[in-house]
Amino acid sequence: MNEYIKVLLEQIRCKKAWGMIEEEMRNHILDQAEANRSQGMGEKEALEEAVRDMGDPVEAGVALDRIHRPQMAWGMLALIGAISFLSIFAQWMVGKADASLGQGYGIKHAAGVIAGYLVMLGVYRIDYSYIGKYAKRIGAVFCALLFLVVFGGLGMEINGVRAWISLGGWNVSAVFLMYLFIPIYGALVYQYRGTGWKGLGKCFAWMLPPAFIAWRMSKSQVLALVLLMSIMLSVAVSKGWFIACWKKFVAAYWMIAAVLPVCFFLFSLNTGYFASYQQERIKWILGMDSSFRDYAGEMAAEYIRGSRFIGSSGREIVGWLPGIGSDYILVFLASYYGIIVALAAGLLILAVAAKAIRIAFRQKNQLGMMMGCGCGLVFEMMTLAGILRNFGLIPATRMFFPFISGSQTGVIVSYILAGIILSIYRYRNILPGEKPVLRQELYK
Amino acid sequence: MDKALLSGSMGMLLLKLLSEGDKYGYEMIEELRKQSKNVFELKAGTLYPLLHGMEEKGMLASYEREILGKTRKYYSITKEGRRVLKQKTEEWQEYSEAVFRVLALEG
Repeated sequence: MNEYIKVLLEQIRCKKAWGMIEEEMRNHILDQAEANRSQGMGEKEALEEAVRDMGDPVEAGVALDRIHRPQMAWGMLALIGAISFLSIFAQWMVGKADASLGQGYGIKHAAGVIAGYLVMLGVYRIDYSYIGKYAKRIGAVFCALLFLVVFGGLGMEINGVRAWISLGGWNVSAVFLMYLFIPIYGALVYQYRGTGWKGLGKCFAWMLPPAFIAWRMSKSQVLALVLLMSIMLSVAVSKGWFIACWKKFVAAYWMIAAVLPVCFFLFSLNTGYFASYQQERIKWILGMDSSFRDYAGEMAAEYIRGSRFIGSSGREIVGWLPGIGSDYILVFLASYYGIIVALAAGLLILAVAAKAIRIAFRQKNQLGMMMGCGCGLVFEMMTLAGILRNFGLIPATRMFFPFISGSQTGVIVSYILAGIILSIYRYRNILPGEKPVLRQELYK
Repeated sequence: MDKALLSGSMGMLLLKLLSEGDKYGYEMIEELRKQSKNVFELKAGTLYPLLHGMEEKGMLASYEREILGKTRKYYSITKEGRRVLKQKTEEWQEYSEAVFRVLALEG
């Protein structure tokens, strides 16, 4: 039997796939040998006959080798390549239009995109299952480092917020780095799979450290992170990872999740916890009477309305609308090159997000599914929020447009998330599907 | 039975078996042998590449389950698998009816 399995496995070049194939073959031979014994064969003869019944090991191994090899998501890679070109072009033009950004702006952004692309290819080569294996340690170290940045001496203060790390002249935004916690959270949820209410409680507990750190940097980011983690946890619960009565739980959770922040903000408004500009913003979001006006948003919407389908609108935007290279990049594209270019940029990023989620949900490996789901959700939320912001429907928040924002950290974070998705796709036929959580193991 | 005649339709037969319930590899070979009255005797070396290939194409999904101390890899049919099964069954019926008609003419 061992000889048969050895010859078969030697035909398969990807050694990571050996474990799952070996187990399946061995079990099959043992099942057949048991059946042979029950028909009256002796121990040795039964096993030899079972191995003979398997057929040619070389033929089977070669056929399995064709299936179990690392894969490349070429469609995704092509989409990201197209976005990378668009990103370099858009920021080059922003740099050309706005002299205040400095001469090297376009070159610096292009270098960031190329570095990001290389980082993505590096992450693609890493086996993502290591993140799953050491999720708790990685999560703890990640939160501890960001805690030291925000509350300790590791961080740097810019514009009154201690949310920056200086790395050899490059200022890294801790706010944007926080989004890398989302795939780690996916791995953490996976670690508690099948542990019932206790595990579910721990998943909630893991939401607290990033929310606490983000609270100091950006209140809106707390909402964004908790929303993303809640969606991921709901996916896990609905897959039957924790409790049997998942429908009631998910319904109750989202009802509370919708009401609780509103109650909290109303309470905070009365206690004066927030600064006055934040109070006005919250009142505006809650639809209450407020003196807050989202001037930039109103202006963005006006520029969009004044844009032509193709070609420049002829209206000056530089100096009038802040953040044309970051928060309002689509408005810039619409104003300079027409609505169709802005639309193409938005749709391209949405396509990456949709593709990421599709890759995630087609995974048999549940860790890959959960981590990919997190990466896809970050892209989805960032892009949707970005589009709404550019149409003046929500005020500018601390988010970045994946891949095309002028933020170097945003660019690198986008490529890291894309690299994780590519790594998940790479191992889709190599890592096994896990044992499902049985109903009898769950708390009713 | 002629191998070439069998190989094209084996995927369809496996999908049909799995449409009746989740099964592991050995169980499928036994079931196929029984249902075909010993006509289809599939080798494991042929079965597993077929199953893994169909899983890659999204027709099947797999998961592990522990039964009596043994970890078994079960396969289940997906929505895509049911679609392919329906299409292949229709094609096969059309083909076999045509063969029958020709044979009847000869008879």
